[in-house]
Amino acid sequence: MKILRFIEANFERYILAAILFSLVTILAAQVVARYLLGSPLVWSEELARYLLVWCTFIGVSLAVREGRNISVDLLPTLIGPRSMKAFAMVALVGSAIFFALMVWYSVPLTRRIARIGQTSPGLGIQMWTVYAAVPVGLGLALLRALQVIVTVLRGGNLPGTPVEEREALDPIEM
Amino acid sequence: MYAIFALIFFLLVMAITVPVAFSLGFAALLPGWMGAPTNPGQMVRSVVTALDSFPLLAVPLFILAGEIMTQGGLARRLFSFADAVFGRFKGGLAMSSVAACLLFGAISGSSPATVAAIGSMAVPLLVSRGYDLRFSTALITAAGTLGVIVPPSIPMIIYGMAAQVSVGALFIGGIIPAIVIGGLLMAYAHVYGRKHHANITSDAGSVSVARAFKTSFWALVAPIFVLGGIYAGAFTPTEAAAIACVYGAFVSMVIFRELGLRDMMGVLVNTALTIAPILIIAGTGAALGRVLTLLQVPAAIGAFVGGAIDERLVLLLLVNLILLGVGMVMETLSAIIVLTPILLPVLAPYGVDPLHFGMIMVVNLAIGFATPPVGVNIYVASGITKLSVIQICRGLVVPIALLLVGLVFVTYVPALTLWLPSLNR
Repeated sequence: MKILRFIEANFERYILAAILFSLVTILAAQVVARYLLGSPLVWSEELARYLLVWCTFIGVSLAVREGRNISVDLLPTLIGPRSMKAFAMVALVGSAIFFALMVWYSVPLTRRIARIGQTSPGLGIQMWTVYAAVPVGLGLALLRALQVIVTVLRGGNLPGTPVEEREALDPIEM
Repeated sequence: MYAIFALIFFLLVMAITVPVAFSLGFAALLPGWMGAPTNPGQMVRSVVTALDSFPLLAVPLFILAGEIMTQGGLARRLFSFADAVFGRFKGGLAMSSVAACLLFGAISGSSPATVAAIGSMAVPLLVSRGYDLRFSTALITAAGTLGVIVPPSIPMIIYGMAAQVSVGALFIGGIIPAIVIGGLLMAYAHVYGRKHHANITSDAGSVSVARAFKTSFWALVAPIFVLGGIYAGAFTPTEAAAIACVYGAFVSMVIFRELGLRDMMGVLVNTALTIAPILIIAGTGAALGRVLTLLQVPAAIGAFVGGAIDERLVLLLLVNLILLGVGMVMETLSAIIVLTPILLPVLAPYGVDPLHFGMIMVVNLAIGFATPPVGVNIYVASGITKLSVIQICRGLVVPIALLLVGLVFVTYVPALTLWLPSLNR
């Protein structure tokens, strides 16, 4: 149980930290290879781009858990802080529907690319492994959205917004 | 027709607080559901293709660099250097705060991050020396816009991607406009200092410029190295961002010893949480932009405007008003991605350079960071100082007016933007 809880809290974190660290290392290596070793790398740019794709979609999942995706809260600000929770639920359900649609649409696309066997020009990576970031990342995000919805329905707190910020959005102050 | 539905749908879904990125995605899918010749597989492909971009890689890396340099004590040293230079003038500390935003903007590409980094240091200090809290908070809220006007700049990278313009050239083009706008805000701080100098104490002269230069040397090298390297063509903006990360990590861990390995893990995760929401907006926004282009929206608007307006100055004024309005209510990056492919083809026949237009757009949307109702800087500043949003807005009237003056310069004096990049060609 302890292990499961650790994975629940940290799974995306470690992947993302590792990807970001690799991005910096790869690109720094690219500059070093070009200037100090005099032989430019051919694979670095491509690998970095594909890592960025994965980083984005896994990051969306963590952002759902932490309530960090960017939304425009003009309406709840106008209506009042009590509407905040209702809007948050609408936003979560809307996000969940979007994730489900994207998983639904991206699986056939990924399979088609795998069937054609398209590979990347520099490294010869199977391109479906890049496109697989969409169903994997957003599938994870879907689970995270459902997790937050269930938590909130059971009376738990919304992720993100600390108490002070909610006060700052008080409608009288606008 | 499909396009109008898509845009209305986007605004509706966004209004009920569904995250901007997914609202853009829904809008990109809608025409396909309604029978337009676009399909969902193509939409997924557009999102991935947009993210699979080398210039875009600069976004996460510059954010990471900014985070490392803030946590590692480089931001603090930039501020103390600025104070050593400008502290001697009336209103000196307020002028230094603006200058610190300029300097920090040169290692960070984000406006709210600039407010957070400089504001949390400068505002308490300003207040302790007798400056009005509302003035101090509003000044930093406005000066934070310099974070995206001074290169490197996340909005410039996104614009470069949307407009197919060199990000390096955009960065270089931003230098003079940033100095002009920073100068206006510093002049305001000086005038305020003269007017209220009876209440303000100062410790000018306590640290000499030479001494401050010595202690903050490693922090000052960062922006020079990054911008100099891009300007000289030694590396691309993306490579510069990676080098800034390595440099920042080295200086804060080895030279300043303010950051340990354990802190680094926190910095990486924190950065990932900041960048993923931004990048996914870039992806789904590009997908919507592509759908709108397929539906020939830019051509339709171009024909409409071309028939109605024949004067370049008037057209630029109109574009500014649209962008200011959009900047006040819309999220910046999605605004850039959706509007660039629509507006750029409209302006091109009037001889507006894409670089110049990019600068106009960035300044407009930067002002949107500091204006209600959707001004992130205001909320960040309010979080730091516990001052209510409406109080900050009252204090913002003059600083925003000055930003608008800067915008007029940038719009009607193209040379401010185009002169430096033209030297490099």
